Amino acid sequence: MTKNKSNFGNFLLNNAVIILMILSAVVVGILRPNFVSGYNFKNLISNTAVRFIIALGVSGTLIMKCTDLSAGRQVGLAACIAATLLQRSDYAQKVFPNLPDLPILVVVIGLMLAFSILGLINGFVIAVLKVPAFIATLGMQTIVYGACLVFTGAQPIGGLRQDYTEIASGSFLKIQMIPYLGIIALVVGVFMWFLYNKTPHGKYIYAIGGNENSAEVSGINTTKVKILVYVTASMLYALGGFLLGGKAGGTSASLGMSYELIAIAGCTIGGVSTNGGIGKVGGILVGVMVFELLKIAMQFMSVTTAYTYIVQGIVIITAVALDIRKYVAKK
Amino acid sequence: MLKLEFKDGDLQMSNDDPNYVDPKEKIYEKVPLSVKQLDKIIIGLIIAFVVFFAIGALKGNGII
Repeated sequence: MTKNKSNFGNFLLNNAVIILMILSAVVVGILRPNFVSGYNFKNLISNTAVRFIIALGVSGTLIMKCTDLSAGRQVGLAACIAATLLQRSDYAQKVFPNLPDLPILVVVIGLMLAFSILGLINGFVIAVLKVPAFIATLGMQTIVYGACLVFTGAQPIGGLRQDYTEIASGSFLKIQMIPYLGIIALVVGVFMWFLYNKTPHGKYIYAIGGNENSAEVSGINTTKVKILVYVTASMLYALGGFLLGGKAGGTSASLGMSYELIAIAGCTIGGVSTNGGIGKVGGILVGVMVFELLKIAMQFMSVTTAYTYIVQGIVIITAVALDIRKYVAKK
Repeated sequence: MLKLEFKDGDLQMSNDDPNYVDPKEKIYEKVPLSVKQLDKIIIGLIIAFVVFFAIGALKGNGII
């Protein structure tokens, strides 16, 4: 009985942030009955889907004890490029007036391949030139933002093709609960789960995060693994940016601003250690989803923007404090 | 040369070292706080969460 009690107590403590946010959602659901609706559920899935894909990209770098501060800006640039390539032919302010209608798949694949170069540069600077990830990706963040402003002329881009926006707003078999974005995120999640858990490359990522020197001595090509992680991350940001652009219905250079911090927060809440070596795809999904749930709950309660940031910050600090408590209690 | 050994569900590189310590535990070893102190901090954070959420909602709805 006592053991059961202690197990229950541990479960509550280990999942306190998630429980707290779900409780908040329940309270908001009682106070604002329209919070619990099919439309809102679809909104939650769609918002979570894009951020989950971006968080998966960041997670690889965090597990490796690195980070990627350029995630949000890469997402913004990808969204802007995708938007310029997928504008309606009859749109008066089309950026490339002579560009024919490109197949969506070509744009997505081309975008992911092009962005792999950004990942390659990030990975090269970090793994080969040994520049700390924080500084290297901060530099990339600024460069990409500047490039995005040059590319867009600091003007918003609209007039997107319907087949593009449909990917973000449409649902599978018109079932509102199953948006296309959710399906895409699920496929990416399964792929990343497989990569992390069933491939040597995944094991190497955890090994590097656990102890880079030991990993190197064990024969792991840490340089190659690090570069590959950043390449994968940039490809996921490109996909995330493409989907975000379609979801927003129009883009600008500021789209995706601070998304890297949201992604890192989602990963932290979901149990990814910023000290490296720890993190699961399922945890990241839960972390990103409950964070989105909290944000939607605050919108429904008309919480002012300033307080929204304070509450989100408290949630992140609580997640870290609980993580520390778990380990201190084990001593 | 060391060898990599991954047991089921264990993604850490222990290399069968009996003195192996999880890298995160190693970092948290330096945390100068007891469980009770951490509990108080966490309770404080949860209270702060509820308070700021409530104040934000009250302000947003023009009640205060």
